[in-house]
Amino acid sequence: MRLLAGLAHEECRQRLADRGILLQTGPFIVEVRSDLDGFTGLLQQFYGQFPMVEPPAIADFHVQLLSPPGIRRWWRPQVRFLLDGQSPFQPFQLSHAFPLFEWGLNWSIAMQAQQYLMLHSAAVERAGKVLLLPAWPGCGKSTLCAALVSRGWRLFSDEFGLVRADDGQLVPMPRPIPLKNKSIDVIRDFSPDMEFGPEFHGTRKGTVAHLRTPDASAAQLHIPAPPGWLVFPRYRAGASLRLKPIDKPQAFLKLVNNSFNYQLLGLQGFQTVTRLVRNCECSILSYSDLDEAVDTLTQLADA
Amino acid sequence: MQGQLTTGWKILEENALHWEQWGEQYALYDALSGETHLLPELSARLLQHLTIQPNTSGALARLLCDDSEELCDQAFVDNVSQLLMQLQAAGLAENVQL
Repeated sequence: MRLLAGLAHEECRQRLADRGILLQTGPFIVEVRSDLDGFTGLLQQFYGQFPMVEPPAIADFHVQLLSPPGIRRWWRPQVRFLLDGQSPFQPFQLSHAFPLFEWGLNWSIAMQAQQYLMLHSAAVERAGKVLLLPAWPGCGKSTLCAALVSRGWRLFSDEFGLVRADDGQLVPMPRPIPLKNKSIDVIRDFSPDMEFGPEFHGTRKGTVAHLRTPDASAAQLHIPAPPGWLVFPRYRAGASLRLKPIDKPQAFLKLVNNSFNYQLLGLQGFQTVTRLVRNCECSILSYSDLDEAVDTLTQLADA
Repeated sequence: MQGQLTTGWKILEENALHWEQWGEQYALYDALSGETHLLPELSARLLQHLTIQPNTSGALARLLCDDSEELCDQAFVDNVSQLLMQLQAAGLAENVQL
């Protein structure tokens, strides 16, 4: 299977502008088209290690990043995200095309991938089992996920826990990890060897920089794994580390409230969440020191 | 002469209830409403008795006492009646003429 990095920059640019590129990102095939010059290099930087799929493969998502026509092209240029030809968002400034692509793709998955139970959760794997870190924004989920990945955990996703209803396995969807504001320097200090992209200032979430998916995680994007641990992270400045076990009913309720589509899945959602809780050690992690948190979770997995 | 009507309790749809038990706590999915409930053991056992057959609150209290060897005094019967009303409010049971 050919990787995106196998395309020369110009060939990649032409294909994006012409018939598009089919990228495998976990279980999904994403058709990407774009007429933006600056987008090609970032797509290659962050998705170069991902396989391309050739027609007649059918894409799950048809995504376009286009510059709007008219005078806007010259005066405060913008970029539009289109899914299946429809534009669900207001345009972003042109320089934010890559964050828009990432957010737009997340939105597309959250709207359409109803064949999975979708948790708002980071997911990383070690020793054949997945650690789920379900949390809403602001709890330090992506930062903790990035720190674990930098210490050798396999990245499944920083944003989605995708659970297969038929066997309860977690499905990997490794993609760039978007770090925001202070988290960018936290991870730069924590793991100077990780590859970052450019910083995008003034986005709707402040400054954003993406961490490149490790090659080893991208190479295993077809390999699912069973859940092993369910840890609800809570970052609090100055908090001492505490990994507190919680009972299954409490974990169940927290997970139901954390899911994008529990209600929509009905009985299948109930059965998938109960199986997940049954098969996991469940706890709450309070922390402020990233080193301590990573060590504790790694000891939990290696026990 | 018309016989005296007795009021009792029944569940709305037996096949709609799906259970998961963790110790003394039960998760319940009601496919009829799409609602999920977390129930303590006594409420869960009460509902499970109702899945067998509709019954009066007094008879249900006695069945629960038999299960657990609890003291079946008036306070316990009142507690069962309260729980039945809570289950009704949650859309899991209804008060009917037996």
